[in-house]
Amino acid sequence: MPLEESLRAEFAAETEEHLDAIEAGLNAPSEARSAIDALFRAFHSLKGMSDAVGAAGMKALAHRAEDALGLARQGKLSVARAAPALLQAGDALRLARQALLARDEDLAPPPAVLAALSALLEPGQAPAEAPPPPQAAPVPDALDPLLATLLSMLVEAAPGLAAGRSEPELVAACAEMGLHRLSAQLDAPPGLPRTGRLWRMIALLAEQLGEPMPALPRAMGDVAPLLAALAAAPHDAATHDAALAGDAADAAHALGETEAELALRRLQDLRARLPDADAASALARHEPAWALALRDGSLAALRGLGLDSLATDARLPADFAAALSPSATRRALAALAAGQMLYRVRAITGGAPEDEAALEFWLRGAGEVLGSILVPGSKPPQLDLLLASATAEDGLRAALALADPDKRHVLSLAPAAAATPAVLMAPVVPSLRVRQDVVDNIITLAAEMRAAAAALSEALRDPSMAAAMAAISAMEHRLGGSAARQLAAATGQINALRNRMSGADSRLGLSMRQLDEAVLELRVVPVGTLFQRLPRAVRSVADGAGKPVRLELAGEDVRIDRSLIELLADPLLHLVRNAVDHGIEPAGGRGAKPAEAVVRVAAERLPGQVQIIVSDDGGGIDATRVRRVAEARGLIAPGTMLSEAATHALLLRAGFSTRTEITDVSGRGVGLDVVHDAVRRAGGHMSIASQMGQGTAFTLTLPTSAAIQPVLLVEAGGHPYAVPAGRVVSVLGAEEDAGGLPMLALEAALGLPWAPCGGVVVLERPAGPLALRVARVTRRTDLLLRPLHPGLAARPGLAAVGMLGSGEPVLVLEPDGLGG
Amino acid sequence: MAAGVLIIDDSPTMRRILREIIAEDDAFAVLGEAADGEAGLAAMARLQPTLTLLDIEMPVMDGLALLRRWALRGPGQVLVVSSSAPLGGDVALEAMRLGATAVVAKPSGALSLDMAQQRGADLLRAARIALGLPHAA
Repeated sequence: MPLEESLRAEFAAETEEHLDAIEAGLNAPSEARSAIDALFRAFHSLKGMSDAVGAAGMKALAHRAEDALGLARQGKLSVARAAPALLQAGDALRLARQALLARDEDLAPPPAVLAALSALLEPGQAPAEAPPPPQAAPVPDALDPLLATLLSMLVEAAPGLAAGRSEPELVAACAEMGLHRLSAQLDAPPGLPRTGRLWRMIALLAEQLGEPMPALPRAMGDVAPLLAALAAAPHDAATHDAALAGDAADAAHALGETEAELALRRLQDLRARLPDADAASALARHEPAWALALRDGSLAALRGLGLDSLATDARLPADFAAALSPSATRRALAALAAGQMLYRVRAITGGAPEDEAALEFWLRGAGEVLGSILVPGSKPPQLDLLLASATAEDGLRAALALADPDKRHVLSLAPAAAATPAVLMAPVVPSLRVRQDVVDNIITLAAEMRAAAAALSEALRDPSMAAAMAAISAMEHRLGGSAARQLAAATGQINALRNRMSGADSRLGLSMRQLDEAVLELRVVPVGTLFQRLPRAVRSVADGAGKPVRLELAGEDVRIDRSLIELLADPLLHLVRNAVDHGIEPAGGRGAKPAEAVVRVAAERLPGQVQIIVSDDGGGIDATRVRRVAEARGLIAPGTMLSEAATHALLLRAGFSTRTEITDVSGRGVGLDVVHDAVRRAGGHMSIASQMGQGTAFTLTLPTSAAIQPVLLVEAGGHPYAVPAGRVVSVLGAEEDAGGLPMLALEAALGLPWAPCGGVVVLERPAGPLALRVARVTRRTDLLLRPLHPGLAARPGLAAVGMLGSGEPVLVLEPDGLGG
Repeated sequence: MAAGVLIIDDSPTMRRILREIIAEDDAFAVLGEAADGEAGLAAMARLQPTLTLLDIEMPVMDGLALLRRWALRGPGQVLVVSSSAPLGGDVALEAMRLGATAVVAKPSGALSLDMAQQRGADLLRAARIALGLPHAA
């Protein structure tokens, strides 16, 4: 992403300033705190700015240097020792800065510099968080004597304040002395949160006056209603309330419950940051444990919550990860490491003693119970047990069937551990940001080169060369004598050269194929980038229509040509909106199906192709209605018999819509025809499958690369034409029977004079197969596609223009646009 | 009327980015900027902002020291915008203990333009919550 010009100038100036400061500071290293702080801040600022402009390489480098200086701040590292590595970091940052400013390129940090910095950090100790910064020296207050008096008045009034008394004189006195927040808090409605906040403010006042910490009475009061309110507060992104958690934390402070305060403060931080993905996942992980503790209604239950590291092992089920004791967590991880499985067992407690005994017997034989959590709101109480076991699921089930044949005790048994993410194991390959036009240029050049290589190859194989050589050799026989010998020597040389050229040509061909593959890597991006806009679109349409809809995405990592991404973004959005708007039944009209409808967008890689399927579990396409509308619009004659495929193909006709009311989401004149058109322009095709009452699926089949397309070459009117190879069903001889398929002569379709038929190509179309008569079927080849001239692009029968190896242009035909 | 906002951050680049984010929302108007905690306190007293966006890591006086002073005096609400206050970390919790409404990460363009916009939106959202304003449409 290129930087905006004014931001670039500011970035350039400020980074230079910091880099100069770093160099100056390190050339004369000082162990003085202020000098270390200045260095720390310079790297810290560079980190923040690099992050803000998206330069991940610079950020990583500055971050590592900042960590090293963090250690120096704690007195664990001497700046003199760190200086050489930090200077290297400064130099590398300078280079990276230049690359960013000159070429918008984000250089990966040099591994040697990173390693040198890492060596400074003690093994196993990487301070992720900057240490709490130094406290500024207390600023002497001009009103010292008056403030000191105020402090003693506050301490004196503390018991009354804790009991909920209001102190109007103190409110006024604080306001007079400029302590407006303290004044406002004194005036606030009494209660535990107010007391907690006041206690903290009084302590701060004492600190700022240099007075000893006053002894404040421990507040009395019931914290349960606060916790209940917190438990009841919805915590989703739209309506969360961090302030409630803050109030509870302040109340905990008033009651002297330090650990509970810490836990609640963490909850406040998580809730306040909720749109942040890390916060959301941490909250989801800890939610069950918190819900349980909050429902308990006592601060004691919160102790320790939030004290454990927020990062939990992803292999443990989220709710248990938060609830397990540290030792149980260790045992769980050890069990996983030993190849055991984790199971979730839901059991009913408090049954008959003999049942309990049977269950216990089964559990003991099955493995180790690592922990349990109460299922909220269950009656009789149910427990979720986390079981580590070396036995496979089938074996456990068999033993359970013996122990608890009537399922009186165990309600369910299921594997609990999430699959080990294999991606984490993949080695990190350093990456480089390159401007898009650089990549485009390489792609264009590679395409040109491919065409040149193909031209060379065709020239070498040109039959006229062999004919010429034959003519020379015939002449050699006719001439005889020394002329013949000279001619023979010359032809021998030419033949040797031809052999060498053929050898070089096949090497070139191989290299070109490898180059094509490498270039393809540059062209393709994960199809997931195409899916990013979908969740929001689904939500807004679904909310607008009052339909509960869940969007499922799959195959985000399937890769597809970058140029297709642009071409497909809007059509895909349209299909998904369409599925919600037209496909899914209105709320209450889904019969026996779950009230929440599912729209699924799945990408799958096929050989040389990518398939994207947009499906819904809605009402399906009403064929009768489609036919009625088509008749009403004059698209088909009344009473026409139509196959299912032909009916679906009607939906792809321009301006077709079966909805009489035009909604503001997918109405706007953009129909399936536009989607179909875009898919065709991308070199792909679209098919529809639908079942009444079950749903509809749109399948988009696209080439992995839009630039090179396999085609079948045919001839008409003396010129070559190409049809996409993926659409060819079969090739028939001129005399063979096409089996009653609709037949079309290519000459007729193109407005060329009649010519004798030399072959028939059967093509696949959404409306049914078509037999295309051509003058000659030549060969199959890969064609390098070029953008079609706008004047030609409007012709429905044309898809693209390609370039033969000889440089001769070839029109690629679009089967859907041929004939009726 | 738009709520007055003060930006306290030692990086001019970051101040500029924050200013641009704030300008996106009509509910806010930037009153001024300060480059360290001490200048920040003076600006707070002079400009009486409804909302202050506060960095933590700054020269002369850092963000937490500023919060300690502000906790007794005001004015307005404080939203900590910092990359040195990780989620659930000591700095973030201390800032909230001192009365900061929330802590948000600095805007980052690490992945794409969208990501920068997203962070900007998160910041505006936190700013609106801090002042009890309804969510932007």
